[in-house]
Amino acid sequence: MIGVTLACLVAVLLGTGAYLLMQRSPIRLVLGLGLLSHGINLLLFGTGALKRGLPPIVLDKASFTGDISAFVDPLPQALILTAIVISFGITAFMIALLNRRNSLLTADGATPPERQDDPLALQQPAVCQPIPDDYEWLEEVPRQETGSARAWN
Amino acid sequence: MELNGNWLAAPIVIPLIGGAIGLIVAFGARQRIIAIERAVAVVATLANLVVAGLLLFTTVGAGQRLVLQMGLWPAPFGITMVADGLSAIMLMLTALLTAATVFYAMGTLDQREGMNFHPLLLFLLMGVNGAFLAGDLFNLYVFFEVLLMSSFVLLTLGGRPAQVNGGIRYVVLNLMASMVFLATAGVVYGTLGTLNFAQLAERMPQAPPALQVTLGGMLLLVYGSKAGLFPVFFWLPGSYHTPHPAVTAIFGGLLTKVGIYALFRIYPLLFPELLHAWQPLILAIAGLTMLTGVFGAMSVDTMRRVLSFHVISQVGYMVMGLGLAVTANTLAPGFGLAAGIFYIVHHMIVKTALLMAGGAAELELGTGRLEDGYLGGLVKKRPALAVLFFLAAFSLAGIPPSSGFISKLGLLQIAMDNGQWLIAGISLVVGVLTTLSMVRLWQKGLAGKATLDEVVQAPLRTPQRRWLTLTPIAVLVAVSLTIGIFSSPFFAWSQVAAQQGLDRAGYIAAVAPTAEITMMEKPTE
Repeated sequence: MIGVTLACLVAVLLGTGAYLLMQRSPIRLVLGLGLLSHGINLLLFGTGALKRGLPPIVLDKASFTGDISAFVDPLPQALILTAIVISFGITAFMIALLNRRNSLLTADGATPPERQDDPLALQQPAVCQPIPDDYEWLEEVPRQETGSARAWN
Repeated sequence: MELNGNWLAAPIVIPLIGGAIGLIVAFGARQRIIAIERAVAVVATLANLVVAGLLLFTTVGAGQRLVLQMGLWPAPFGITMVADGLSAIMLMLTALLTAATVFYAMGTLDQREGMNFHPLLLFLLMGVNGAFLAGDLFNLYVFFEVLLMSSFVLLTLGGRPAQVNGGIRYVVLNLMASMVFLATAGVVYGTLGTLNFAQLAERMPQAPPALQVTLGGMLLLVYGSKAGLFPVFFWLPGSYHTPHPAVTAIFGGLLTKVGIYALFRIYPLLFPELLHAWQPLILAIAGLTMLTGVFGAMSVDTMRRVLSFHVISQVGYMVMGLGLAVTANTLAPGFGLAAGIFYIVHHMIVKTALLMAGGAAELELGTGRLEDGYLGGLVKKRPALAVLFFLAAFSLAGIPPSSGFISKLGLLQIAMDNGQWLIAGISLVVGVLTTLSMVRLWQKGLAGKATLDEVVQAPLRTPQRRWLTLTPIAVLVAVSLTIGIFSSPFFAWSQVAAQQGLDRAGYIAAVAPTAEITMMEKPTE
C-alpha cells in the first residue's frame, strides 16, 4: 500500500514539475525544477525497502543475532542526501542567474540590431529597469552592458 | 616508476587543493589575487599532467588496470576508483587541454573576467578527472554534477546578457538530463541491488531483457544529452558561443567528451548484447548527429557558433565507433572501439586548438561575425595566428597528414569491413561538408580585407600576452600533427584501451566485488 502511495506521489510530483517547466515564467521554471528533483528523490527513497520502525542501527554489535536483511537499506538515504545538496546548490545558482537576468533586461533595446548576438560587440551603459512581463525570456535580449557598477566581482 | 592504486586519488586531489587555495586567497588587490590564482593553477595543472602521464604509461603501456578501494572497503561497499587504458587516455587528454587553457586564459582574459577563472577551471578538472575514474554509477553522477557546477559558473563568468540567457538554457537542459541520470541510478539500485560497475557487469546479463532495454535506453538518453547527440543537443549551440573564448575552448574540447566516455565505458561493460541489438539505432543516431551538426554549422554566421555546431557533428563520428565496437571484423578485435577512441584523441586536441585560434581571432578584432566588414584580414595582420588556425581547421576537416585523416580512415575501414555502406557514405559526405565549412571560416574569417577599424579593448593588444595566447595553440597543433604523422603507436595505444574496455571479465576480476562486508587487510610493508 505504501509503495502504491509513494508511486502516485512520485508521478504527481514529476508531472507537476514537467508541466511547470513548460511555462514561460522563470519562477515557474525554478519551482518546476524543484518539484522534479523532489520527485526523483522520492523515487530513490522508494528503492530502499519501505518498512516502519526498523532503523538500520545496531547498538551492540557483539550480541546482535537477528537478520540484517530485515532492516531498511540505508544506502538510498545517503544517495538522497547527496542529491538534495546538489539540487539545492543548482537551484540557488539558478535563482541568482534569473535575478541577474532580470536586472539586465531593459525596456528599450538601444543596441544596434546588427550587433545583437555578438558576444564581443562594443558595450554601452544602459539604464536598468525591470520590464513588467518578461515572458520572452528565452529570446535573445538586446546586448547591453550595465556599466562598471555592475561589474562582476 | 611503478604506480599503485593510491595514485588514482591524485588527479582528483591536486585540482581540489589548487582550486581551494585559489578561492581562499580573496584579500588584497585584485591583480595580486589573480596572479596567485594563476600561479597555483599552473603548478596544479602541470602536476596533474605529470600524474596523468605516469598513469597512462602504467595502464596502457603495461596493459594493466589500477584499482583504488577507498578506505580499504571491498568493492560494492566502498567507493571504487578504476583506471584502465580508456580512463588513462582521457585523463591525459584532459590534463593536456587544461594546461593549455591555463596559459591561453592568461593571455586572453582581462581582469574582470579573469577573476576566479583559474580556480573554477581547476574544479572543472577535478570533476572531469573524477568522472573518468569513477567505478560506480553514483560517483559518476556526483562527478558529473561537480563538473557541471563549475561549468555553469564558467559559462556565465562576466555576466553579459547573452551569457546569462545561454547559461539559463544550459543549466535547465543539463539539470533535466542529470535528473534522468539520478532516476536511472535509483532504478538500477532498486532492481539490481548495486551501483558498482563490476557488480553490475556480473548481474546485468541475468536481468530480464525488458529491464536491460529500459536501463540501457535511459543511460543512452542521459549520456547522449550530455554528449550532444541527436536529438538532444539543443543546449550546446544555444550556449557555447556566449562565454569568453577560453571557456568555449575548454568546453568544446572537454565536456561533451565526458558523455562520450561514459557511453564507451558503460555500453561495452554492462550492455554488450544491446550493442549488437541496437547497432542500427546507434549508427542512425551517429549519422543524424553528424548531418545535423554540419548543416547547423552552415546555417550560422559567427565564428564560434560554427565551431560549436562542428562539436556536435564530430561527436557523431565517435558514436559511430561505438556502434561498430563489438561487431566481428577482419581487422583486429575491438577495432571499432579503438577507432572511436582514436577519434576522441584527435578531436579533443584539434577542437580545443581550433576554438582557441578562432577565439583569438575574435578577440583581435572584437567581433565574431563572418561577414564583410567584421572578421577578416588576419592573414596579413597576424600571420602566426592564421597559420595555426589553418593547420587546426584542416586537421578537423581530415586532410592528410593531420590526425583527422588517420582517425577518419580508421572509422571508414571498420565501417566498410562490416559492410555498413550507409554510415560510411554519410561520414564521407560530412567530411566534405566539414571541409567546405572550414574553407568558409578561412575565407570569411581570416583571409580578405580587414575593414573593422573600431576595435574593442581586446586584451590581446600587448605583444607579451599574444605570445602567451599563441603558444598553447601551437603546442596542441604540433601534438595533432605528431599523432597524424606518427600514428602507429598512438593507434596501438587506442587498441590496448579498446581491448581493456571490451574485456568484461578482466574488469570484474580487477575490481573483485564481494558479497561480505569485511574490511580488507591492511597491506603490510
